[in-house]
Formats: sequence, structure tokens, C-alpha cells
Amino acid sequence: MACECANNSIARTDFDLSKWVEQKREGKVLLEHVGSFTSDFIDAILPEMEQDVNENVENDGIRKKVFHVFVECIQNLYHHVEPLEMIEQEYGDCRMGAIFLVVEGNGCRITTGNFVKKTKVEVLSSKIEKINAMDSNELKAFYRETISKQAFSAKGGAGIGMIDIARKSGNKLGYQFYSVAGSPDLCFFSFDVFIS
Amino acid sequence: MDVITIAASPKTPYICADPIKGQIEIKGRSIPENSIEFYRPLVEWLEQYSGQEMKTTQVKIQLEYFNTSSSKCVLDIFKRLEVMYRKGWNIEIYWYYDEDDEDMYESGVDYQSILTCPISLVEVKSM
Repeated sequence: MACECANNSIARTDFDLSKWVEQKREGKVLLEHVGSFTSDFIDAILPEMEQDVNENVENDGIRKKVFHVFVECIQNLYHHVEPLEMIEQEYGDCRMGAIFLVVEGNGCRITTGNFVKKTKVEVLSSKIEKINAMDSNELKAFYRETISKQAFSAKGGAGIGMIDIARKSGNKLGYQFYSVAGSPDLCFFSFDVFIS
Repeated sequence: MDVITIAASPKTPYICADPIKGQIEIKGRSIPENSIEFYRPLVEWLEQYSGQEMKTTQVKIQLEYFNTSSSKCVLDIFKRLEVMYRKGWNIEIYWYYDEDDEDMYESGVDYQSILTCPISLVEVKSM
């Protein structure tokens, strides 16, 4: 699956959350959350998600991969959602993120969305483009090199989340950045992982 | 020094480190948001243990799931064991994986390729 944008630019049209949510609901939605991501929320949602996957995904291997990638994606949101004050009234929390787990064909799609600083767009898109250009052996070598050399980030991340997600999913990572009207510093990062 | 035992939770594994028996065991799911904090007691225990008299030490790791921050913490623990191994400790690391879990097997192979101390991959039959 090719990513939605072939370059690292931010989409010209302003971000419309309801349109984006509608678009990401395509398929059989097993789980959807748009709001804040606390540790307690993650504790509560994981058993629910696991049960949904057990009931809706037949293949054992895919089930395990879906759980693994879902945990990585939801914890990325927990660590990396940037606050956007102007959405607080709408979502009750300025640290808004979104996650979807959708059955598509013989596999699953996990989509996340969150606000990120525009200064991170270049680093994030370069990293994803680099990962998407690699075959499975190159990804394996990149993972081993990164886990060995990279120190933990200030947020406790190992810097290998995206590489691991790509390795587990076996598919190219999909992504798009959207500009946010009224916010000079932030943009919206939409991220799709296909597991099949 | 003391035995440390940490009970398993839905997001964290059972951990037991016994200085008399020379055994370290990690078993279950390891998907906490704060992996560094979770593994800190074991890392501190290992630091103290490595200053004790050398003895054969068995390390058994059997994980069902682990997130990437846990995989980095496990690597840091292995690197400390590797330092001990180079000093002459007899360190036996066993990495258990379910026979159907290709990804967990791959993780064991990843560690084997990164580290110089031997890691035995042990297949466990699915229930």
C-alpha cells in the first residue's frame, strides 16, 4: 500500500477533523477513539481491542501482529500528542488524538491521528520515507543498528517504534500531514498501518 | 542481597531475580508506557549482583508481547550481562518463543546478532 503523499509536504487544504474521521471509518470499524490518551484509557481499551480482534480476525499470526502494532501506535499517541488549546472545548482535552482499528479485506488497518509540531514534519516524513524504501532485510538491519546505538529519548522512546511497526506489518506505512487553520505551529499527522 | 519478585500485571511481566540460585526470570507481557521505570529495580539489582562473587547465572525470558521501549530495556539488561560474560561469568540466556510466533523468534535472533554472549532460542509448543 503506497502512502497517501509521495513527498514530505503538508497538504494544501486545511485539516477538517470530521471529514478525516469519516474517511478513516471506511471498512468494518472494530474500534474508534477520538479524544485524549491517558494510561488509564490505554489499560481499559487494550482488553476490549484484543477481544474485538479475536472475534473478527481468523488468522492467529495477523491477530498477534495487530495487537503488537496497536500497542505501539496507541503508546506513540500517549507519548507524542501535542496539545492544541483551541480544541479543548470540543474534546474536553487539548491533547487530542485519534485511533481506528478497521478490518479491511483479509487484514486490518490501524490509523492514528494527532497534532504534531511543524518542526517535526521533516524528521518524521524523512524517517517514514526511509523505512518505506527498505525491503525486509534492510529493515531488519536498520532496526538492529538503531536499537543498539540510539539512546532513550526524553519521553522514554527507544526510537525504533516506526521501524518495528513496518517490520511487523510487512507493508508500506501510509501518512499525510495537514495544515491546521488558526495554528501557526502545529499540523495534523495522519498515519496508516496495514497488516495482512 | 535480596531476591526481587515483581508480580505480573496486564501490561507488565512477572520478574524474579534470585542471587542465591543465580537465576533471573522475566515472563508474560511487557507493554508498559514507562518501561525504563518498570525495569529500573531489575537493572539496579543486576548492578549489585554483578559486584558479587561470580557464579553460573541463568536468564530465562519468555514474553508473549513486548513493546519497543521494553525491547530496548531488555537489550540494556543483556548488555550488562554481556559485560559480566566478558569478565568471565558463566551467563546462560534462554529466549523462549511460541512455536507459532515468528516475530518473537525474530526478536531472539535480533538479540543474538547484536550481542556476543550466547543466547539460546527455545521453542515452546503452543497450548
